[in-house]
Amino acid sequence: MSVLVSGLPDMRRVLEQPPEINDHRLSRSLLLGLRLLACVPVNGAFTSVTELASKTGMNMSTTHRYISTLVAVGLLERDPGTRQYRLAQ
Amino acid sequence: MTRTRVEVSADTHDEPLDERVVIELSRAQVDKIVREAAGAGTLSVLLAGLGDVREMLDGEPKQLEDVRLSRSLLSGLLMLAMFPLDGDYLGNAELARMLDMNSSTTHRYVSTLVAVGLVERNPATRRYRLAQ
Repeated sequence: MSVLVSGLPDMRRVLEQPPEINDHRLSRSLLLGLRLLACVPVNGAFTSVTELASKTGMNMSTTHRYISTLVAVGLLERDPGTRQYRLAQ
Repeated sequence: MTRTRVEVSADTHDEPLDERVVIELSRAQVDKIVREAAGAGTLSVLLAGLGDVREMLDGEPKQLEDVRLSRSLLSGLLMLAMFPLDGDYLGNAELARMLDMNSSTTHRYVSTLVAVGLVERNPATRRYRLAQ
């Protein structure tokens, strides 16, 4: 989604502020999912579930669930050979 | 930059051809078109996938469990995709109706999109639009 991708740098900045995550007026799951999206390289390079889990500080199972969701809506794509992910081209 | 050599025989070309300029322009145009297509493509993928997302959300919880998707993330992305691309505003009630969510959940999701800078809120009207 072009709007989403063009907003990524701003989003990245905001999502680096940990307090947002614990704001009860916000959706923690949505924030985490967007933060994960913001951790995927904008240059189209592939990244692994392990890398994304370590960048976001989430466990592997949660990371995988968010990644699968982003793949399902067509924002990320998976390389079946390497099992790595990148922003949908 | 790679130069492509164009050979034109004397009897088939009837107007002067500046080989270099023609090729560079064409490359720039191709690049531009590719960039635009990439942007539009990603958007259209998301919009085209909306039916599926709706089905996932409306479907039996089993389906969500099987494929292990995040309902909150799906709802939030679906909400984002509801906003008109021309910058028109939507109110909380409209969003709630469009997404079939209660107004409190709707408010939490839209506030999250505002917090990350994807959506902006007009304080006077309390309505929302895609961040400009």
